[in-house]
Amino acid sequence: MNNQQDFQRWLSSATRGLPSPIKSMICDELAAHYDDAFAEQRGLGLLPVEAHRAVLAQLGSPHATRRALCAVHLARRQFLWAAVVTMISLVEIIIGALFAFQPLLFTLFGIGCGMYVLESLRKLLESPRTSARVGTAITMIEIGLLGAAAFGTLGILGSYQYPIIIVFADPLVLARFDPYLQPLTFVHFILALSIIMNGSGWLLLADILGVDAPIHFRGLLRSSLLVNGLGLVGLSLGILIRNSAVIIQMGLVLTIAGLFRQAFLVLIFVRAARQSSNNPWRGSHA
Amino acid sequence: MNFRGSLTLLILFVLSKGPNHGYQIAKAIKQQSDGILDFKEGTLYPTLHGLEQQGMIEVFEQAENGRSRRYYRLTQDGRALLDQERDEWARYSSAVDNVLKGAQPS
Repeated sequence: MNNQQDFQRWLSSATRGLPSPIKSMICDELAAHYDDAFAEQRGLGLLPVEAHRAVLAQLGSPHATRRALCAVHLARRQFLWAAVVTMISLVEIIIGALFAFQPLLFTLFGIGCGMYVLESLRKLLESPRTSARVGTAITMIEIGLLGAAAFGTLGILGSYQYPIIIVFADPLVLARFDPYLQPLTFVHFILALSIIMNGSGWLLLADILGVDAPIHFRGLLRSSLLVNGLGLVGLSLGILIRNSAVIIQMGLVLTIAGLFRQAFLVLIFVRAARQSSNNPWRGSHA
Repeated sequence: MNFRGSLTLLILFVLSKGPNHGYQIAKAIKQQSDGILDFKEGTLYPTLHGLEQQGMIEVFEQAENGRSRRYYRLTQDGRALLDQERDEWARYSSAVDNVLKGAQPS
């Protein structure tokens, strides 16, 4: 295999999976880079094969380059998927009552959607201009979500009956099951702490959105996050004091706020997808 | 600040001296750091493209050796980000210096 074929193979690995126009633009750019670097190495007295090896070593792993390129150039696709998944989880909240007798399925589906949406939100909000607290807030939400799901699942498996439904189902289900007649156990205690962490993460994110988030509908999203976060914290306090009325009322508050939150997130992701450039030729010509 | 974070700062700084293409940006960073900042050049382009998407730099094409080449230049927002990143880097390096000198943080 000659040097050019070997470089073409590197290029092909580095750009695999990217849309054609972007792939073509990156290949041209990297080919120009390769030619310059190769000429420089030859100028230093290296043989063609040595110069080629030195340039590929400087470029690094094609797989690492591909991962980084995909993270940048497939953002539009990810935001569109995030909008779809957010819409699905919005519907899931609305029709949650239908899942009342399949809480495990309901939870696993909700967790899958939730994690994808949160990771997309992290990608959307994290930029050199935003506070590092964005990452902290989203990690708190994710840990809280996973903790609530894990201990909620433990609750189901251990016949505690209610934890998952309290976290994710709608208030109609809560009211029907009237679930808080059982003693407070370790599972419920950790579940409550997880929900507090989840709610605190949303509150922190709402606080950050008030300062420097480069997104549209910021005020509306922030309000829904605040109410949602407060609802979650209130719900977990309800669990700890074993008060069904508090749990149901807070469940109602956070469900309504959650509906608005998901709706605004759909709009934000759609907007972000539209703004993410997939057109590599938007630069001007000098 | 990790090296990934500082790569953004270094790119913006190099471009503050004037428009340039990827290879020259990489070369400038390596030469001016006496080869100490020896990053893999393949990862330069995703960072450049990300900065372009964020509006920190913009692209124009220029003919060179019979082919069109992508050049990058700093935007107004990019200049503001450069100032912000430089301040952050100054604070960070001063804090590390303080620790290494055994001084009390102010």
